[in-house]
Amino acid sequence: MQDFTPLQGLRRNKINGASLSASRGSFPYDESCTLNVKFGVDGGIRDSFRHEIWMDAHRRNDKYFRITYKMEIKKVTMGLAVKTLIKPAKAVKKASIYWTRNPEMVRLFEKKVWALIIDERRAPHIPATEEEARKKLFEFEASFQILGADVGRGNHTLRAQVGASWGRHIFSEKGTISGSSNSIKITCT
Amino acid sequence: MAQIEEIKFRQTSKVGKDLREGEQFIRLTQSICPDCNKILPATIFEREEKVFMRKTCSEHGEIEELYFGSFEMYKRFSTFWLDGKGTLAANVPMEKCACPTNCGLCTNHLSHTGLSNIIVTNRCDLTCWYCFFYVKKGLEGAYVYEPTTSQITAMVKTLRAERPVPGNSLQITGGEPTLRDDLADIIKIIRAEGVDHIQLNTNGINLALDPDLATRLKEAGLSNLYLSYDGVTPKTNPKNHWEVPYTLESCRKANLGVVFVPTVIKSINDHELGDILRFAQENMDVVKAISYQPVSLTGRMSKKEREKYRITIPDCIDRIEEQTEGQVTRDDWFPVPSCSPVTHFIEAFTKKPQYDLSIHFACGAGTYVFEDTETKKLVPMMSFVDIPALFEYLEEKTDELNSGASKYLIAAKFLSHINSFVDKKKQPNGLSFAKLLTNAILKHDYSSVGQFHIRSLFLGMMHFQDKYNQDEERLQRCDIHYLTPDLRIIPFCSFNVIPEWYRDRIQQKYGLPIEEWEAKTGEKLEQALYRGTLRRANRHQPASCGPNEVRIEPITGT
Repeated sequence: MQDFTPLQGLRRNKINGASLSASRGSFPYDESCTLNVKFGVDGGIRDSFRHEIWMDAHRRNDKYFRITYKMEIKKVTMGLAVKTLIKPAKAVKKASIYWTRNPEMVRLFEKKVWALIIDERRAPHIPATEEEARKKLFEFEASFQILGADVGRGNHTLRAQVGASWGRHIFSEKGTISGSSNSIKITCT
Repeated sequence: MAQIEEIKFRQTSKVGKDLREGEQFIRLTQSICPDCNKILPATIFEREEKVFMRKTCSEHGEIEELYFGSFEMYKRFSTFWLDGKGTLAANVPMEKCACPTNCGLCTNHLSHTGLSNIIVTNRCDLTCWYCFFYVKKGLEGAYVYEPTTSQITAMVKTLRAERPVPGNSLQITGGEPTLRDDLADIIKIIRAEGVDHIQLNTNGINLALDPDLATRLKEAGLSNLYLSYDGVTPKTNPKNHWEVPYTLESCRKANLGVVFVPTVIKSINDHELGDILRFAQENMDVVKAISYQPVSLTGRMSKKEREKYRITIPDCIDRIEEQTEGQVTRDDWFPVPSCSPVTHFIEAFTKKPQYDLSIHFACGAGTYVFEDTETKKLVPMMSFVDIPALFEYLEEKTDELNSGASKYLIAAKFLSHINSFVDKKKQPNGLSFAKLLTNAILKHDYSSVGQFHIRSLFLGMMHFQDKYNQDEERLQRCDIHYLTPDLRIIPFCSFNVIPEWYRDRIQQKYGLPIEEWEAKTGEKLEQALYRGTLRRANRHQPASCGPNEVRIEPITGT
């Protein structure tokens, strides 16, 4: 990889739209409830992930980008997230910036570079647009199943703590960001 | 904030719209017409869990071809799609990409040379029906092509001049290279130019007939044989069934490793892939690898004929699973570019460009199997090493190194983690994988890779293209190249897929018409043909081995 040349005037990176939801607000002790965590990465790193930069990155042999997502769900007591309900989990998404021979691209660009996105389940996606590529790479969703025994009977307030990190590239310094979701209330009977 | 220009391309494609009921779009690429070589748009699509290519020539009509025999495996392999470094000093500067014309390597090629080939002769002592690469009388424009040693020296210098990674692996090929009397001298020349790995692509017959030849070639600097071996019966392997045991014995005495190279043809020898593996296992002391090669269909062929013979990488992998009763499963195989996490980790660690196997994911696959010293069963690496987790870990550490982390700290972490990827209970007796991998990755030298082969067989799969399934995305990433006397470096799948533009022209330019060659040398082309001496000797044992009167003891095996 060649030397880092930071892009100027990029927005600050931040966690965007972190949300936590439950499949049901109330559930019996001997049944389960599904918690859904959703969040995205916004800012300069997302803005940089575009065709013009892919071309430059490909030319300079910086062809692989990976982003690690982390999440943890905690019980909230007295306004503070203190007890871990779902242990810190990690998932990785990747982008391979490659030279395509797609004939439509051949007509459009002098150098025909596109991105293949590999999601956290190792499934490959060739996005149709740059925006689809950004969505596939920078938006994350995960589900967790909890049992009544995991939380105990009663009312509970839950919150997700989430984060993302990536390494240094020709278009970006390494980065680590974190954030919190909304709080939700669930009742175990 | 920079303005983001939205780019949409696939929806507007007319090519993708030729899909029919039950077909699922995968990607668009470029290919050629098998009749006129015109560059055509092509659609890669899924139907009934298989991957096909479809293209239409305005003059010669539609061509549909099986591209990859399993969609599920295609998806898994495609996650390893990663473009390579290419070459910095291209021999053919190209403003715009124009594959498959002007190969040589051009500015737009995406892989440096992984394995180079030098054809030392196109004469052969056999006449295999499916082979596209030997000179025979009666063909218009047939030339005997045998580059001189000074031409060979210049070709090797061109290989070594590649940057950022000088070519370091070379295959001497033919025809049948052992027909050249100066073969040992050629090997010495290549070695003197600094090439570490030299292999000989051969049918092995002359090494069987002359037991000392293997020793002479080994002493000259040969690394291993790339031995054509198509099956375990005379029917599937008429070319050298009787000779291979003698060839192996010669190599054993010379301490010369052997790679079996079966050309796999559906309906001909695809039922013997497991038997080939078992025969290799029996001779594991000398056989180090098998490189299965699904056939490349040359010449004009009807769709019916192509369907009869066409076999792809996943089909071969499935047959191996069936024929080894599940010892080597389809999940044990990885595409060739899956090596990238290891290469990139070493690159980030050493800050030096490393040898990168960056071919297209659909071109080749491989796996390692180890023999358990007690049970004698084959144990694939995947069954005791968590390869995906290991690759993830290496990718993560590569990112850290590229982001400025201390390499000593990363090395310490690597050493403390390596055992966590190995299930020692399932690891074959007598093997310490963690130790082998540590040597290979942290010493990153040639000898540690060699040690890795000691107790293992490498199983490889390489599917060379033909005009029916040709994909420019694959060609642009090809790392198996031919060195030619005009000092070009031409990708295999241009050189052989469009011979009229490459191979034939080279041979015509640098070869001699057969009649002229015969007049010059005083030999007849057919004089070199092998007459089955050892086959006859086996039938009438004890018998001599032909003209040199060497007595050969029978060897069990085939």
